[in-house]
Amino acid sequence: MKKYFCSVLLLLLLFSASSCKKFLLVEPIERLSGNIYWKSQADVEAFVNDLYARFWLKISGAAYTSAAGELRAGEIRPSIGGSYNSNDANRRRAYDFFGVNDLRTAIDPTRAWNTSTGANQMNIVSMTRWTEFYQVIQGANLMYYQVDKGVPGVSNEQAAAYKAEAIYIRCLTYFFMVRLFGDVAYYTNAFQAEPLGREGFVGVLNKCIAELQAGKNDLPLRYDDAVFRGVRATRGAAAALLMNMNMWNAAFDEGNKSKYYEQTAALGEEIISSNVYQLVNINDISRVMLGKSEEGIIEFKESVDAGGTYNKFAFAAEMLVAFPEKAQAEGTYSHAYYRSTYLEKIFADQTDKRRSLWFTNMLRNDGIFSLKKFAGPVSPKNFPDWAIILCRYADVILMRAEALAELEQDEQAINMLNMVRRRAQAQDYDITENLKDAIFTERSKELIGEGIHYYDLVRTKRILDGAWTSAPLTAAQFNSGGWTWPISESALNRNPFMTLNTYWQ
Amino acid sequence: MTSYLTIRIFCLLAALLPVAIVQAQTQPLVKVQGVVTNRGNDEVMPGVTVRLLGPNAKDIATTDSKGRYTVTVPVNSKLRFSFVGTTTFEVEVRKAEDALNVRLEDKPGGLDEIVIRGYQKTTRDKDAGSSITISGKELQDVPVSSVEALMQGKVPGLNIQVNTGAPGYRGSVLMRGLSNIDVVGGSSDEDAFLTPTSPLYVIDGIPVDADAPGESGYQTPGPGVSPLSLIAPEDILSIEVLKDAQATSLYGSRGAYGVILITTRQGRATIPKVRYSGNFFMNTPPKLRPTLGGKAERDFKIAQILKYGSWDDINNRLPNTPNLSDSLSAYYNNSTNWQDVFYGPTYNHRHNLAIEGGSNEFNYKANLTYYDEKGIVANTGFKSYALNMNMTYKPNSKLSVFSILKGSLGKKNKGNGLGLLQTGIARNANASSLLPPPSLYTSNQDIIGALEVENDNSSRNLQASFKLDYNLLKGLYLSSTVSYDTWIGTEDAFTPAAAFGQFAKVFAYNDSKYTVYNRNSISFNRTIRKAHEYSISAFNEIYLKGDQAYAAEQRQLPSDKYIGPIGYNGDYLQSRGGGLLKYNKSRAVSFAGAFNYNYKRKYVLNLTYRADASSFSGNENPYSLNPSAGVKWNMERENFMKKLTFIDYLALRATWGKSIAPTGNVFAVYGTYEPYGFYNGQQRIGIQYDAIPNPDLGAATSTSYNGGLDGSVLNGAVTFNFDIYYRKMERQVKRLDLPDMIGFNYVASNQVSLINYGYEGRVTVRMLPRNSKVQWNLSVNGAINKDILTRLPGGVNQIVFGSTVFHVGRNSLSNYLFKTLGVFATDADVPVNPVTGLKLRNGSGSNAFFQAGDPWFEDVDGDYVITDKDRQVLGNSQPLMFGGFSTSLGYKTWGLLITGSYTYKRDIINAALSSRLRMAGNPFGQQAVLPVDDLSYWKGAGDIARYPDPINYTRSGVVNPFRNNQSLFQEDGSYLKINTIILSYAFNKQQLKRLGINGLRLSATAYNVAIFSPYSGPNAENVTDLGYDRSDGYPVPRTYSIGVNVDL
Repeated sequence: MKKYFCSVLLLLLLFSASSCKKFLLVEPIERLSGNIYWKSQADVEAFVNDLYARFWLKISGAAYTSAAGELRAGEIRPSIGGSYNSNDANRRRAYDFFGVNDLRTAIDPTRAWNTSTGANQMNIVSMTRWTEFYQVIQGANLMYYQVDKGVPGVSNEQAAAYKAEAIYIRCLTYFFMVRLFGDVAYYTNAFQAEPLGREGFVGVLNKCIAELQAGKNDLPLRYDDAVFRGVRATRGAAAALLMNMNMWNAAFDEGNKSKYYEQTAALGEEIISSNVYQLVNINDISRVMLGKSEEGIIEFKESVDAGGTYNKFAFAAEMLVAFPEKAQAEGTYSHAYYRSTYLEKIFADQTDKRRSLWFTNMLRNDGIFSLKKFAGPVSPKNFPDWAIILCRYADVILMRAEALAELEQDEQAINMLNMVRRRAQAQDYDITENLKDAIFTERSKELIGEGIHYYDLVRTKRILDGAWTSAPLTAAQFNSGGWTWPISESALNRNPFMTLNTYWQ
Repeated sequence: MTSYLTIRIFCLLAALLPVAIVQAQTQPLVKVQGVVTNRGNDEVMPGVTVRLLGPNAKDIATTDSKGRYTVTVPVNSKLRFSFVGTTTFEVEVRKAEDALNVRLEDKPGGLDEIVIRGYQKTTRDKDAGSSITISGKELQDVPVSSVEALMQGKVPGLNIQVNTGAPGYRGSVLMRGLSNIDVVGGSSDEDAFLTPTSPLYVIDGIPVDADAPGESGYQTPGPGVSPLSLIAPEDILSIEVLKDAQATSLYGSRGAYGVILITTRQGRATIPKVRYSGNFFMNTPPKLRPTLGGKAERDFKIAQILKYGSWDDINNRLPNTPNLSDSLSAYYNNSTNWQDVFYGPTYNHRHNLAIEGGSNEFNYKANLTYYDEKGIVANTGFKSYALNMNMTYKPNSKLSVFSILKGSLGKKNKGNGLGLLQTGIARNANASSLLPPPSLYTSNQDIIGALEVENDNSSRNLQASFKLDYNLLKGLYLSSTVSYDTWIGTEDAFTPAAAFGQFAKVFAYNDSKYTVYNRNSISFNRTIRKAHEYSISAFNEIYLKGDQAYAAEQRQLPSDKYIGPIGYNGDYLQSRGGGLLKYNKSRAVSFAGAFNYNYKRKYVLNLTYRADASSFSGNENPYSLNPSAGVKWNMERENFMKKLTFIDYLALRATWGKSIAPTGNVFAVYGTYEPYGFYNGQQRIGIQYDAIPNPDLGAATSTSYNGGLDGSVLNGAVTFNFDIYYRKMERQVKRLDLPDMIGFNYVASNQVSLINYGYEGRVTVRMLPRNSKVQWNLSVNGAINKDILTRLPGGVNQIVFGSTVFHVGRNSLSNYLFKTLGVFATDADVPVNPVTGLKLRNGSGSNAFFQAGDPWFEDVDGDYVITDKDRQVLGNSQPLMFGGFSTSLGYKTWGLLITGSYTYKRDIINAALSSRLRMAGNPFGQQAVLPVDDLSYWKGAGDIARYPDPINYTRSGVVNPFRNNQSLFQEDGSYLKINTIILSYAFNKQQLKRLGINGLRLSATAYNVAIFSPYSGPNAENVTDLGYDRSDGYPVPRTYSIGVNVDL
């Protein structure tokens, strides 16, 4: 009797132990938990898309390209006063404060441009906030971690490519932040929850360069699906980002600058010889600005046709175009214009097609000025359906030219410079020109309105020279961080190691 | 063999002897039989000695296994019934009786007291755990909506604060101090509360969640009726509170905050019994605040403006403030007592009817209860109807079937507030007395809202359970319990158009919850050679739980007459439509085992082990493990103690227990993913950047040690229990907010550690001899508890949450305040920064320099600017010591019972006072003015005053003199409360017999009688968990009750 009973009991216990795990598995239907994600390639794809989207949302949610990349150079004035005023004059006064490097006023929450709501919100204050950048970084770190652990249905080759893409997204974010804030907190491990202090940005970029260099060749050369052209990581995009990071460090790590220039030159050569990209016809340049062209390398694009929405202030072009480049609902006149003295200076070559094709009323200094470079079919959002272009082929060619000139390989540098000039049907390089200055001016011309000029000024230290900018900084201002952005005070919360940019305190 | 024979002969002689004597005396013999039961739990008592008294006194019988006895004794002889650990009972026999049934009472805290450990009954002398038993009788005669409130001050170590007077709501319950430092909710300090850590309640062997469905903290969505509110105190046989890890370990991780076992009555009487009890009670609001009325208010405000106002205030704003300048306007020419509109006494009643009966083979009980309480705040109240039935069927000595069926309905009326807080009412009660009283034409929206919102909240519960016991072999028992518990809660609230911007709205909510529970156990016990007694038991538990909640709101109904249909989208911008608020499903499995051994009941060893797994904890390491061990030494059974006859019993015990529980859930460990739409035409799914996944989230461990001493001397005249405990909680989970550079909002970090230690004791004294005509018992208990925070996440030393600071090395919850050094008597007293020549000022950016009449805050960092950095750790919101006392007096059938509770050394922020001072400084607002004459405040240059100048209203925006977070408003919140005074009288049973009634008892009760405290505010208990005395909380009423109990 006892024996029989014991064996029944034993059986019961065994049964309950084995079925226990199954019994305890309750799949939550209202939420998706991490342990049932990362089960297929589609999961990884959806996650990558989310990372790009978050980066896009951050940089398109505020006036990064215009305020940070163009306005601070001081060459743009709002169309207020004079004959053709912007219909949005009050808010556009902010531009003048950027132009004299008075960012404190620009981010003053009580000013008209910061109190607007809805579509008129310029979100300048949000540019000082770090959280969203680090969301992208955490996401990239997490993606690397998960793919590294292995995802069913993802081959080794694909896994390597995804890991390289995660590194690429992370490096792109760090680079973007370094250009804005200088020193940043750097980490690459997933689930970082311990607070960290800021780290010298040269070192940060060097780490980024090292890891991206290592992963670059795992990335695809190009995507078969044209939908991903320019907007997803490729070998070319990684190389272009590496060039950008090298050029930035060359300016701040002078002792090692030739190393950076050599790398830039080599990477530029790699991109050019890959034959993936090409300079489009000068008449079609506005097509490049819409994104996904043969010339685009690092782009963010949320097509209106695909249901995307964006803040119009995301694009520097928004303030620089007049009707018919934008819908009349946005006002007939442009909100800002380039100083005519500046344009006269850089576009001295009258044969340059960019003079005639890219501008309307180029030297008017008022609201009928328009930067036709950004023309295009006007979408339901009242503007052409632009992309945010962080790097394109012409930029790469000129960066290589700059690096070669610094390395005193003038002949090759001139070749590069002429590639860009010839596309604009401008005159070839003339031996009387100072080569380095000519390359810089060429970048100013070619990339005008694309949110790159101010970074070039900082990088080449020309920001210190009144001959090159209407808003020069003194060496003391520059050295104490006058070229950076203020960081939101919220960054100090719960982080004893954090410091803000002293220049703005 | 020979000895066997001798015994038989001896017995025969013994049996014949009384007969011989009786015959010699020629007294007629009568046969008397009956059943002896325990008065406390109505269970039959085997082994009770029946003794014949008188000249030939001797033991003549003992009761059999069913408690039955039969004796044949001479008429008019006296019998005494006695049993170890119970009182004795004497009766005179006058005639033959078939049912001379006797009920014996447990002596308090006796060694033979029945205790329950892991669903198994045992006796106290065989168990080393720490627990306190309260008999159901101690909970009678007081009409409260939740029985929990009656346990206040009765159990050392169980800190119950009845900090709300809202009918149907629970106060705060903490077992042995703080076990979780999580503070949640609240944009301001007053709204913050501790994460509830309620003990686990086990009612008749079925574990129950004491929190109502959907309940979390103060702001309760839905009807939220706690299951404890649906148990009638009359139906409770006993409550046992388990305190240490050894006692609670068999209840697993859910028992981490203590376990409270409630046993309801069962039918035992052979004759069916009907008991009725009813209470009629009146709730009265506490003393309301004196307020300046009518002209006094207007004059006060005008004088204030004329004295301190700017040119613009006097010449521009004052003439344009009609309630001040236009005293002739009928609209503003009032003196309305707003508090009277909202607060008032209420008359309520409660009824309970119990029917029970049966025999040992079959018995039944049905308890029907009705409770109706209207709150002292207008438009609030709680009503409940509950039926609790159980029955036992024992077809033979091996099988027993016990089943319970419970059904109840609770209805709560929340008024306009969300429940515990009546912020709307408080705002209205503060309205200027110049405004007209509510009437058809002149009411404002808030007032109609508070008084006329129709609120129908009900919570329905149905529980069925079934327990089967089978005695398979000698000493081997099998048992299986199944229960199903379901709750349905609905809330319908209708707000008339006048109360909501001229458009009526309707809100509908419904939730449901179910629990399926199964427990199977096997136990075996045996005694070897009458010395070694051991038992082994094992059981498993399975839970299936689910709950969901929906809500819908519709605004802009066509009129007040058309309520609904809900779902139609009249105003698409504001209507909320409907939606799922909550959806949860979970499962849990547990295995537990226990081994108990004792040697001659002198040396006791208890070992237990339990493992719990739940579907929340992920699949990798789901089990939480709870081992425990305990030893006990029953000293009085030692030979060397035998001579010390004045000692009834004396026992030393020591226990150790540990709980290792996986923390967090799959979401905390792996993160939550969510689709976020599309980018570039492609699907996006990303992680939620809210809680960062924490794969290192390990197990939280809690280790506790308990030592205790129990004893009783002088035949129960003095009984006492003392406990000392130490508990170390490591790796507790705490939400840690993260810096910007992490990208996520917070992490569920498990790096919080704290220790608790304390002492508890209870002494009960029988003040007069047992046979005295007057019986007087006195019982006092207390607990000292200290907690120390030993670790915070991220290795930081302190975390500030509002005005609370978590600081390593200190008590876990400290107040973080500005230290008020006094009030500046003159302008010259304001310190001047010797470097800049600037006076002390408030805030970094402004020109807010302090002046005479302003508070002097200590400038901790020495920068002559008062900022948040100048706050310091001052005070502790958790009490150091708490406990209670009770004294009962009995004379014949009169009884007087007084109980009380106390809390010692606790800091309270008197936010009621600060708001009163603030209200005096707002002349242009439409708020009442509370007189401040009784306070020592600064009136003119040179005044040495306690409080800053409230009259100069221009200072409030500049230096905020009456901020809550300053030491000026921190006061000692110690208190001594008289909880209940009960006077009762029972009518003579003989006289009642003629009326066909077995018993009639009347009682008069006063509840929440008085509170004695150095605290200057209204009620030192009616404050939040974190010690904020909110003036808009729900005041605790004083209750007067008349009760009647009838036994048929």
